[in-house]
This record gives sequence, structure tokens and C-alpha cells, in this order.
Amino acid sequence: MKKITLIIIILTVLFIFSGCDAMLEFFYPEYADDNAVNITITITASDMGTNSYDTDGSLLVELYTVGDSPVSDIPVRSVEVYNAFDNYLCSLYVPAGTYEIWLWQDKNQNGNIDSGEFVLDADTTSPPGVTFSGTTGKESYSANSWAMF
Amino acid sequence: MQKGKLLTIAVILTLLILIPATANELELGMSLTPIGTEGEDNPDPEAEDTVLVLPGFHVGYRFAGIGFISWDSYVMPPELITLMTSVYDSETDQNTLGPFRPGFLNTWNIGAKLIIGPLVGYSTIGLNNIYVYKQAEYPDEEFNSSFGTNWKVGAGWKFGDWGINLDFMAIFSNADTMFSELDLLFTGNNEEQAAAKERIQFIPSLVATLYL
Repeated sequence: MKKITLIIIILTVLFIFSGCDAMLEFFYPEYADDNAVNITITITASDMGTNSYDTDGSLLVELYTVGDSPVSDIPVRSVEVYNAFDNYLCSLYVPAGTYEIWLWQDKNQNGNIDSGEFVLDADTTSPPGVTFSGTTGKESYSANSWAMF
Repeated sequence: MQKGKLLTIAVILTLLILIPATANELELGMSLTPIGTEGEDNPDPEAEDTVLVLPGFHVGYRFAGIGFISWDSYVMPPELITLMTSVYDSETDQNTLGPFRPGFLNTWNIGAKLIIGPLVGYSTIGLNNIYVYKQAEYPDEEFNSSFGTNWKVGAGWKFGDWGINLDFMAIFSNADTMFSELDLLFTGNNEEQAAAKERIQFIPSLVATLYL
């Protein structure tokens, strides 16, 4: 039997009998952390569609390790949000740890989100093992970002 | 009877004679599927033309010489799963993305498969389903795991106990849409066929298959 056929048999049997989650962890090992938890971030943007910065309600949500810089470091998780006109929910699955959440008006990290028109509320209590520092709604780092610290 | 119909019947009868009726065969395989992150369903107006190559698994069973059932599972990255499981509420103009987790796109198909000598050809239809990583942790009401229907056509070459197939999958939002589009594609006039071809987007997959 050729090697390729043997590999196909082994991997297929592994896939079927080891369970879907184990196979997904094989392809995405960062999800294999036993302490990984699901974070739900609730974004309320009641007036985002009419402000001067944004017309389509799109956002970039990024989670960074505390101390990392959005300019020079790679986010732990990054997800684009579309049409976030009101009560947008985005779920991120992250390993246990402490993170900083950054919101950007677009995926190129441009744009200032007006604090008067935008409220970020993250569920910081239900996910065990994950903590966020600071107070929701405080602008930090630069004029072009809106972060939760 | 029209000459074309006679020819079609003659071809089918010839194929049935050539194919052993007892040719039952189990298939195991792995696939690679290039998929673009920009498409009609992508809500990002500035989406770039990036192509992801998704690994996948294939299990199939050929029975009675021509019948074929299959299960294909494609490993999907979180970026696609969250889009594919998003829910848009038109009343509130609210779009809720699904969970940002990796997952599988499963396709459960039934159809016909012909293997004549080394040549392989098949066409199947089926249902799609999305499995999200540790789905049991995720409330059912927050996303819909069903993901429409699909039509696959493919061809390949069999090298003894293994083979290579190239198949093309079109995904539809539901069965009604699939049948109406296929009806237009095969029986519509020239304009309807052209319009259907434009609407139907085929996703290619290269499948290495082991025949047991």
C-alpha cells in the first residue's frame, strides 16, 4: 500500500473517531487551550450611521495582550463588524488571560469613534479566567482609537 | 421521438451495460478547496481578494453501480464561520455575526457516480450543515447551523485503488432556489441559462480518494 493511501486512511479514521473538536484543534491549535472561554462583547452604537466619521457602521474589534501596541503588535483576536448600527454582538473565543479591547472605525485602524455616540459594553464577568483592566468608555492611547480600559 | 432523445437513451443503456450492477465501493478521501473571502454574501464592501485553501475530508459509498451517497467536511476558519452563521434582522437593520470559532461545513449528498475504466464522473445534490467548535457550549438560538443546499459535479481519474477528482460545488440558500436555478440552467432558454450561470458560483475542490 502506498504511503499516500495509508496517510489518507489514518487521517480519515482519526477525523471520524476522534471527534470534530479534536480535529479542529489540530488545524487551529490556539483553540485547544482548556481554559479558553467565549467572550461576548455588546456594542451599542445608536447613532453610528449618521455621524461624520462612519456611514456604514463598520468596526474593527481587536483584542491585545496588555502592554502590546496596536501599531506594532499582532492582536490575539481580530474581528470585523459590519452594519453595527445598534446592539451589535460579537463573540470571540480566547484563551484565559488579560486583554485590552480596541475598537476602530475601519479595518485599517483609522477613524475616531465619538464617545458621545458610541458605547461599548463588554461582558467582563461571565468568562472565567479572562479579565479586562480599566473602565469601559475611557479613551486612551491616541486620538485615533477608542479603547476600553 | 426526437433523435436527441434516442441518442440519450442509447448512451444511458450502454453505460448501464458497461457498469457492473454489484459495484459497491467505499471511498475515503481528503480534499483541498480554495475559497475566496470576497463574494456576494460578504458584507464587507472593502473586502480584499484573498484566497484561503481549506482542507477537507471525504467519505462516500457507491452502490448498485451508479448510486452514490457522500459526506464531505470542509475545515472552515473563524473568519468564515462568523460570516456564514451571521443573522440579519431586516426589521431592526441589525446584523449579528455568528461565533468567532473554527468549524466544519458538512455536505450530505446523494446522486449518481459513474466509473468507466479509469474515468470517474458524478453529480449529486444535498444538504449543508455547519458545525462550530464546541458547539454544545453555544446557545442554539444564537445562530442557525443549517446552511442551505448544494449541487456538486465532478470528474476524475482512477489509478487502481485510489484516484484524483476535481469537483465543483454550488451552494444555494434553500432547496427551492437550487431546483429552480438548476431547472433554468438545464431547460431554460439561452438568456435564462446565461443568467443562471452568472448567479451560480462554483467552488472547486481537488479530492484525493481511496477506493476500498
